[in-house]
Amino acid sequence: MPRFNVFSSAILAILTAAPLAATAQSIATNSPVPLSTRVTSYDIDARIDTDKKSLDATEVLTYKNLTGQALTSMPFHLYLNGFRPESTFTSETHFTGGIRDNEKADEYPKEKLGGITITKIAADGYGDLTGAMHFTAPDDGNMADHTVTEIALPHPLAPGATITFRLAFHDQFPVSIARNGYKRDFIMGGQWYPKPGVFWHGAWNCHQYHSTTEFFSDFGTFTVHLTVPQRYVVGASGVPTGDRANADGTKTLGFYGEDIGDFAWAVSPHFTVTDGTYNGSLGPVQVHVLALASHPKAGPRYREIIEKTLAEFDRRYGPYPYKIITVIDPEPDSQIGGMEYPTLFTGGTSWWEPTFGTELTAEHEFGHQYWYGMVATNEFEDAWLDEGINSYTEVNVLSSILGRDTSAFGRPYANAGDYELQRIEYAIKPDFDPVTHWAYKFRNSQTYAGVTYGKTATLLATLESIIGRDTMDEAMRTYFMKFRFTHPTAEDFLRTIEQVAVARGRATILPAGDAALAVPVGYADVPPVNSSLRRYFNQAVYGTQVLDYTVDSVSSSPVQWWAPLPDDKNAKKQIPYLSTVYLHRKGDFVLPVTVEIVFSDGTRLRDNWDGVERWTKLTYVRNAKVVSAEIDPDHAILLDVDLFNNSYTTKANTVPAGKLSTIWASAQQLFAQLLTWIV
Amino acid sequence: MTQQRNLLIGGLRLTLQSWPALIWTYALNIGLAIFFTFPLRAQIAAITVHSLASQRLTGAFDLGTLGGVISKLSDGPGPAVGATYFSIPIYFVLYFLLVPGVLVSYQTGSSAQLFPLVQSGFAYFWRFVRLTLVTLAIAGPILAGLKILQNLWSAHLDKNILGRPGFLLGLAGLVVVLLAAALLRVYFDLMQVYTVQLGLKAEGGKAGRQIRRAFKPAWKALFGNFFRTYLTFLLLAVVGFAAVFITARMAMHSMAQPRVWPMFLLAQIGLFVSLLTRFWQRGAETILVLDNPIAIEAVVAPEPVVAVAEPEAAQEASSDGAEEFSI
Repeated sequence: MPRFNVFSSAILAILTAAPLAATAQSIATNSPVPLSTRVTSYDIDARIDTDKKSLDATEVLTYKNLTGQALTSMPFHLYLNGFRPESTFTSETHFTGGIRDNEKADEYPKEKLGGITITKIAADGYGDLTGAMHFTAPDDGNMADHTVTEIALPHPLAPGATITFRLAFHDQFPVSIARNGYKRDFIMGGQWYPKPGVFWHGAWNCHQYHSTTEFFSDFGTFTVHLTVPQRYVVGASGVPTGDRANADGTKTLGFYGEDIGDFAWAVSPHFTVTDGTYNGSLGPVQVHVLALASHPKAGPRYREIIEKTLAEFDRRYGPYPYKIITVIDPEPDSQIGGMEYPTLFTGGTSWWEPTFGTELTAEHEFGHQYWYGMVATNEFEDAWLDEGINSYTEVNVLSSILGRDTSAFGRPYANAGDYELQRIEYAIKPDFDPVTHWAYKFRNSQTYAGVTYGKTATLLATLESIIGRDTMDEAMRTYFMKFRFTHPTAEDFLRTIEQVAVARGRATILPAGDAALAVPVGYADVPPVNSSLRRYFNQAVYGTQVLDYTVDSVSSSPVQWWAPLPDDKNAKKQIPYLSTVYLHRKGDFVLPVTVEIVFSDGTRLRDNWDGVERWTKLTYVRNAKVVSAEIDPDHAILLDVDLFNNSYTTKANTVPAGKLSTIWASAQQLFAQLLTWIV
Repeated sequence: MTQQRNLLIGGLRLTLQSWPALIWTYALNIGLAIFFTFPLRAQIAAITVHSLASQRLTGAFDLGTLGGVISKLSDGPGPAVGATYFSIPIYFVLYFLLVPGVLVSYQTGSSAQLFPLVQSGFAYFWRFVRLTLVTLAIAGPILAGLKILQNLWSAHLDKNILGRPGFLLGLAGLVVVLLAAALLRVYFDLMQVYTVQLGLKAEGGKAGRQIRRAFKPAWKALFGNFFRTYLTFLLLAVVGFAAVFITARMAMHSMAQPRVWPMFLLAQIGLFVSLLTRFWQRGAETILVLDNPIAIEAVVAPEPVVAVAEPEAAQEASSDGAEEFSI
């Protein structure tokens, strides 16, 4: 084992000596008190073989039984075993696709083989438990999966008692797949160590690794030492606690994190460091960027967007309590970009990146620090509470920083707003799965992504238009501040919104027995609110109803249609017209809507329609014809899958069709010309 | 003694003298594209013409709104997008018929109107089919081999050199492949010109239909005048592609304007210049061939006497312009 210098050792001694004085200032957070219920404590020493792309480590894991009941077994995640052809992860990516990998070939590539082997496990007071390990497959019964192992304890662990495991394990990293592995001489340790499941709602929750799921774990502290060749630069979760050179040409670096649920690291000899500081409401936060030397502009870009994002999150949702956020710029063409871990995330850029893709990825992954990292919902079962909420906050934060209609791409000749990209992602496959489906039970990876990310972002944006932006912001802040470090559920989130909306007068309490209250209710700490928002939640969150309103037709005829039209121009203006507008609810999602009618004299009228019936007719008698009719004139109901049929204008506009067909025809001409170079 | 006329100027002169050929080819290029895009345009118009949402594609070019249009098009039952692709093979076939006529016109100064062009196209049709097959048979393996080497080069770069230097070195590898492709193209272009010259000199004789007789003169003409021929070809190719790139970029920057014609005009300028430079290349190659004409004895060399009389039907077919499949 590597030895540490006196300074590092002293720091670690102070840190680990403590059921510490609760008021002692942490070196890892800006909070004077522990932020979470610390169930686990890890002390890991790992030696990384950068040539063999492998790792050997020892792990001391202390687990505190806060479940209130005696535990007779403990399950552990062994995620790296997912990178084998027999695993559930690989099977799912092969047959239904994956958002990180899409292994369709009939032969599994050797370089994609990965795995983790626990060579020894013992527990203080329990002896050697290596023989007591056996693989389980709680989700699909695939006993060849090997991503979950269970240890039967020789005697129960009493409530309130602590067990200390001592493990030795070996990792073999695959070529980059699904957030893990190596690319060239870059290695990412994402889910690299044995990690126990979470005892949640009266049972162990330890799902297998799936193609579309992410992670769920208890909070705790991490003391990690990584040994790598000296030419390597290392980024890891937590704060660095010191490093020392070893005689064998390696160096050992120490990291410490607290109130985090996971620990990840990345090493590369090509990292360049860009540092910045954001002075948050709890204290300074170091923005520590490790960007590849081949991406010379990436460091400043990451730093700038993260500093701005920190400010937005601090203002909108609550403080970022950790002292550091580390940004890893992964190797190009790896499947490691755009992934979140506590106090560390991977971005995604290239040497030439003219869009806001770099900023968008960085903002999104930073946002996970709040929803995945601190609120820490169960991503296997409620993926939308992380990915979806994060996509919603991403839209709002990027709108503030880069502009609503330019947050994805902003050039004088073309633009794209992030909110539109989210909406389109959802609208492609809107009705297969509700957002509340467990992540690995979606129809396929496309519906998972479209619904979990796109639909959640869009339904929350639509909800924002229903209850108002201020109310929504307050609800989001309330939810974050109340539920951070607690693993809340879907109902906790929805009821918090209801509570705030009712308090602000933006929703009402429904009478008992109202049909809208018949909703699937899961576990929640927040008592039922039973507000008028339930109708929306039932359809948008728990349902698969599709929202599609259309203006079917617009017409204006003289009331006295039989009378001849006068020749005089002024007299014509005095002719009363009967104007009719037909509205149609094409989808099965019922939502009250506003309609704006514009008349030829410039008058604008607004009407409301509850949308309960399939269609409605609006009639007007005025001395002017209808020029246009538009449902949702404020463009707030983004959940409508077809925005084109929301309006009808009598003034034909051929420019868009002309532009698009010109582009297409010109491209056809060019391809035709290129083909003739054969002749 | 052969002449050494300026290929650029001479080629341009021929191109301009036979300007109807260029105009007809361009008209077919744009006409087919517009014709086959029309159903797609109608489908887009059905979505956008009376919708206020499409205003974001009028005074701006909102990619999200564009995505909405594409999404709606893919939902629709119409095969409009697929139908547009038909313009490409049809243009290819017509171009195939036009090229021999263009070369005849360049060499003889004959009319470059559509009918004579197509008539020549039919007369040389099978010769050009064989030429194209020979081109593919020879150029295909060479370029495939180079592509494999380029892939190895890219893989090497991918492992060792990243970022901008890696991109530029990878681009250099691609340029090498393109230079080789250009060399092959100019050689087979010359074969086409000589094939037409053979046909013209042989006046319908069998020798005039044997494209193998063009191999050697094309080789001699190219490598006897290598730099000026190759550089002229490359210069015109670069000008053509640069015109497309520059005008496409300018057209892209006019996408947000509330009118269509600037974008249309810019795109068409680039596409026309691209076609012009290709015709110019053929003009330059024709000048080279005219300055290095095929030896008359190669064309009228005595044929081996065939003892057995040809069947009557075959003779009739031959006199009707049908060709033998000999290289």
